[in-house]
Amino acid sequence: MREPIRPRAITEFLSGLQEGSLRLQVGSISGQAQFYPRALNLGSVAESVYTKAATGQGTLMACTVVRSGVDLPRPVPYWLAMIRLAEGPRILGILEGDPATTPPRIGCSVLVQHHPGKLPPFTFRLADGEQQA
Amino acid sequence: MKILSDRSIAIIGFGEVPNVKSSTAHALDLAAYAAREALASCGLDLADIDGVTTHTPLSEAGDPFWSNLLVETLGLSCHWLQSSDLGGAIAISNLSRAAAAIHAGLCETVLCLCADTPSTQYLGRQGGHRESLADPMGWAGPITGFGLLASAYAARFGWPAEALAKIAVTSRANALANPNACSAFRKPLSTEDYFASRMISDPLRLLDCVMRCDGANAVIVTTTNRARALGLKRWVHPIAYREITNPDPQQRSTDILESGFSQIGPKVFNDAGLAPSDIDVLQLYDDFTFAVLLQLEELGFCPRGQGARLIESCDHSAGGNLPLNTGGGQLSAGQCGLAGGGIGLVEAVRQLMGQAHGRQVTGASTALVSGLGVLPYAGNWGTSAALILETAHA
Repeated sequence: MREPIRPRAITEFLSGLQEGSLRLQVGSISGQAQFYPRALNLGSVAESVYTKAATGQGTLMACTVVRSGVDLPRPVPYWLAMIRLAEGPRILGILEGDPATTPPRIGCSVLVQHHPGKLPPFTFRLADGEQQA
Repeated sequence: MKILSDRSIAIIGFGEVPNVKSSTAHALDLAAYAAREALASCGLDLADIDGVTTHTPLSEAGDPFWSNLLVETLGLSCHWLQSSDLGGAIAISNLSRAAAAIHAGLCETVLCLCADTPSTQYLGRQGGHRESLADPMGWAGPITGFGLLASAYAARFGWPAEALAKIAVTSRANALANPNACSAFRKPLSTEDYFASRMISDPLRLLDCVMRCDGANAVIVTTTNRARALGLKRWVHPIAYREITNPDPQQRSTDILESGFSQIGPKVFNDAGLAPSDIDVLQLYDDFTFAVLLQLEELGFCPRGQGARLIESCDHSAGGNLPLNTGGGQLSAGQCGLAGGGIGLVEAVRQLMGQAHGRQVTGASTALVSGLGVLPYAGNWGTSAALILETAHA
């Protein structure tokens, strides 16, 4: 089966993940980071973007338990989280932990974990000092 | 839309076919049945229609000429034809565009037609959530997105399980009086049934979600002058409409619960010269129970975090003090794919025409219909739309 055609910026982002790097686009003037990657700066077309690696630090905004689905990257159940990265943008990823327990507190700190060459290519874990409920 | 507030546009007819699970029907057939019923309801025939709005059904996704095929199949000849793809907002957004086209002189009488048979054939490929980024990371469909929003709400305000159960149970009770509701839902639902249903995407349960079915619905829109000339006794004015797509393009908001409804809600009521308390019938887009609660808050029917209190303190049946989704909504009439948004529109028109036999809201003269479309990547609803309707007599 042929690889799907993707926007170039997303292809580059996915390539970065294979190298263990979560890359964000940043406005050349505003310094504002954006995600997901696009062919233009979200603030102004007069501004270009450059790419830089995210710190991988973030805050948990939302978390649900995925209990069923097709072609999922790991067996269910698992936590799927919405994270606000330290640089500002929101991102989705699996949050490591036991989904049979109460999900971690919204607002707790998380860190990205890279898994180059595997699916999913990255997940998040609770930052040191954060407790799973 | 100023062209609505002057009451120069009228909805004069409506039609709907019963929702059926796995009907084996083709969307063209259901579209024809709904169109025929809508035309008959106002005494018009095919030659009276010179404009059409529609959408490509999920069951026919990928056909770039669907709208053309539909018009030809129905034996129509139109001077204005539009197909749109705003998901659950298709029905009311198409109505607003029909009004604009009529005012622009492009056409005079528009058939706004929705039809879909996704439980018989599904050819759709949902990509609005940025699939190449979301799917490999564990996204499992729209339910995942609603589960995320729901978890954020639970963390901030507590999880309103009793209120959501009431929405599910009341919707089912309302559907029992709707002969067009999917037969699978024509049996009572109890609060115990709700809480016994399994978790799907925590904290959402199976009975928080819609079930796909096949169906079609239509309304006919023209000028108020033409409605009078036709000798009609009663029609419905669309008096205010607002929509917004991608309300936070730079993701500046840190509040994931804030949707476009918080922006358009005050505007649509201001345009109509009404307050939420003036609305007699609510038809809120209900792909999930939680969507209903959040819209009540976002549209201004109650303050943030007070949706559960509002729901639990009101009677949402046709005879209640806040009639809501009086035909059962999509939750209990079934979600006929991309035609699902039309269920609320047709039910609102039916109520305001005084033809909701067995579930008529006594004296209903105003209604609000909402629509929403897509959960984008890591965001709230992509499109939020709201329409206010008003009864008119000759």
